Amino acid sequence: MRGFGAVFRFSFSSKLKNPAYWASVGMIVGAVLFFTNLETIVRYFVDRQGETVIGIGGTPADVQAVLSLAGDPEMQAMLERMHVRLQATFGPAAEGGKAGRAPDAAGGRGPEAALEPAKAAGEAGVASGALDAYVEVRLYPSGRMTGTVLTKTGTNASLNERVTDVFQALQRRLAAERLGLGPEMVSALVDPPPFTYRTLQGGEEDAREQMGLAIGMTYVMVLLLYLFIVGGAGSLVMELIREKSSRFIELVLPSVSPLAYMWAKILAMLGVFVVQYAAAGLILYGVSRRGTVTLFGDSFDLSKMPLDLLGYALLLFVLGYLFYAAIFAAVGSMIARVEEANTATTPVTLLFVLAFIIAMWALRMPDASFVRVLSWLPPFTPLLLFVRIALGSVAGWEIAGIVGLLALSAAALLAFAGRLFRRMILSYEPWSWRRFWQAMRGEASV
Amino acid sequence: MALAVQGLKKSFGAVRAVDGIDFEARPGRIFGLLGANGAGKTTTLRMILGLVAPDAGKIRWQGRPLDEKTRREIGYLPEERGLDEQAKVEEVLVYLGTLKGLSPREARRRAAAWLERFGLGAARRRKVKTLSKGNQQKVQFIAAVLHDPALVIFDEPFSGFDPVNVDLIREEMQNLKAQGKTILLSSHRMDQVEALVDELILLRRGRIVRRGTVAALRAAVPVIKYVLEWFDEAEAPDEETPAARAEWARRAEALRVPGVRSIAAGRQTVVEVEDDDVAQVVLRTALSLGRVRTFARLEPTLHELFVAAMQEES
Ligand SMILES: Nc1ncnc2c1ncn2[C@@H]1O[C@H](COP(=O)(O)OP(=O)(O)O)[C@@H](O)[C@H]1O
Ligand SMILES: [Mg+2]
Repeated sequence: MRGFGAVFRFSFSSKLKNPAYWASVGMIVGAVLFFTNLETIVRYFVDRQGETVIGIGGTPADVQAVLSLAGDPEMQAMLERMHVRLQATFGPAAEGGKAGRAPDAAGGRGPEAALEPAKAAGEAGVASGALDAYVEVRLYPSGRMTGTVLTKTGTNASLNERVTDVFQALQRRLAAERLGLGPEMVSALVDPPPFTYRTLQGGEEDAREQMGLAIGMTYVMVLLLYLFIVGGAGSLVMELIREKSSRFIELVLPSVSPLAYMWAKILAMLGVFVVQYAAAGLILYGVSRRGTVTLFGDSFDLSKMPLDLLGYALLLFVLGYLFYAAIFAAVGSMIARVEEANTATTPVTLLFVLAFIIAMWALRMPDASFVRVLSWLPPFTPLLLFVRIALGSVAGWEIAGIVGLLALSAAALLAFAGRLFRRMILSYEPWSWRRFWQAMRGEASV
Repeated sequence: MALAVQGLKKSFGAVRAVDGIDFEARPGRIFGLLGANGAGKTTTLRMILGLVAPDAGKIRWQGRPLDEKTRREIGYLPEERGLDEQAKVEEVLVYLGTLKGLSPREARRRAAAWLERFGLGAARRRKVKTLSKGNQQKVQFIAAVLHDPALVIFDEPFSGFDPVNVDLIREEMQNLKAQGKTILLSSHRMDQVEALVDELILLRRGRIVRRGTVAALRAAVPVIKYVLEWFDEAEAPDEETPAARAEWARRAEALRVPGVRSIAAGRQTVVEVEDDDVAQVVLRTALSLGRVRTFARLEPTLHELFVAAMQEES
């Protein structure tokens, strides 16, 4: 392993001295904060969208009924939350001034006759943008409502959804009134039972909330694991290709064995990423202590992360990285052009993206049998086993077995990568999977 | 103590890049590997450096096979030169120096001295990529010699370098030679190395076709050529007009004295003669045709050396 130290030191320190490296620490923190606060961010933009004005037309009696339903304090609160304002719409007599609000304006006319001018006014309102939607509504004695919703374009699904939500609530209220049901009875009819969930280990705390926190934390950790392994193995490959394509490697390899060189690069990149994530973790920890990290609506504290889980995360970080780094080192040793890097690494990266997607499913069902089976497959182990340990129930022997399998396969891949590396690191032929296959079978070399 | 290569062979698939090469390079001497592109020079040097594994043959340095430790005594300027462009000049040099066994401190000290010597003292802390091509070449040269290697390998040192740097490298090579280093040098151009190399081998398709000193190789070539040029006068204008070509052809005919083997007419007329006495006659004739500007004996080209070697072989 002659020269290992020099290669390691140079690779490690020149990365740490690079400002781009520290910028990516900021990016990791940003990515985590972004994904975990997605809901808050979306709500922020919804809030800034401004009020949705829904015009209501129909017979004066129906319009009146709707408005009085909407006047109920609970409905008022809901409308406010949704940033929705209801506005009665009437014919030309009411237009022009603010009189639109006065249901009396259409008084005295026949019910059907009143509809036509109201419709015209509603259309005009939608066309001018004064109204976001115009609803011509009809109430039935049963409490049922029918109607037509008019919007400017057909593409605004969220607007239609909002209109439906508002009228569903109104209809429920109306039906309850007609049936003479109190709020309790309505709630009994439509809401899930407000259970409190407890577990035997859970102690005092609300188990359901705890579950939410655990899922949230696991989500953050899986995201970090994913970014770490993809980033680490990806940088390794780029580093190799950079030294190769610039031919710098020809100056290095006479004094270092290819194996020492490969290990120095793999471990330097691991060190670089451990430092990077430790820095990002410290920043996130600090931020979460100040209550700014929210997850799935709950504010949570990363410092509540159990230490043993952190230990497992670190172990899976390292083993997962070594597993993918071995593959990438083998592939990277055969690539001499930066343009070829994507072609060569994409299949491997996709495999890991698949692992990430499965892990996202697994968050909701950590004990499902497919999660259990897939967590035994080394490419999926780092993310899936972590989800299982964090959220599901895994026996100690199973953890040992799965981790052992990952470690063994990483070791085998590294040994194999070393052999390939020694033969191929100085080849400058164009990349192809066929050539990779030949090299694996020992049919190609330099 | 020397570098000895014996029966060295290497094939890439069906291509026999190196096909049984023997030579010995000695301290205080510059040994040249000459040959056209694809002759196998780089492959030979890479095998010495351990970058390519030989199929057969022995490479001995100071009487022992080279390994990663003894390869630290080699300095190398590759044919395709590159540095880590992201890193700073001093960092790269210190890195390569420590790889060769220098302490970081010593490597830094020597790097500073060399950079100063090449007028790059101010570039120490700059990123390699911010340097001009010519200055990057200087850094590459420094990287090859920083650790004071006993064996220095230059692969095509004169191609791709600025003319100014070519002179610099020639000078430094002479210095290294004077210090008693063993120097290996490859080139595909005879004219660039003839004044430099003490001894050389001519390679063709992975085999040695000729070996010896430049003078001995030259002497073995039976072709004697002179180049002749007149001052441009009315009858032989500078431009290659049809009239000018006709005039050159007319004069060439007049030069065809006994003993002249062939004539290539042109602004510079090349005359092949049987011996140097015939050349004197040719010169006198030329003087009678106009004012002579140049009359010089042409040294054999690499190609002619090859042809001569081939003829000798058959
Ligand atoms: N890595 C390689 N893979 C396949 N063929 C190679 C490789 N390196 C060199 N060759 C071939 O070997 C022959 C000798 O090449 P080289 O040693 O580079 O010649 P030179 O340096 O004299 O120009 C050439 O035909 C070249 O194409
Ligand atoms: Mg070459």
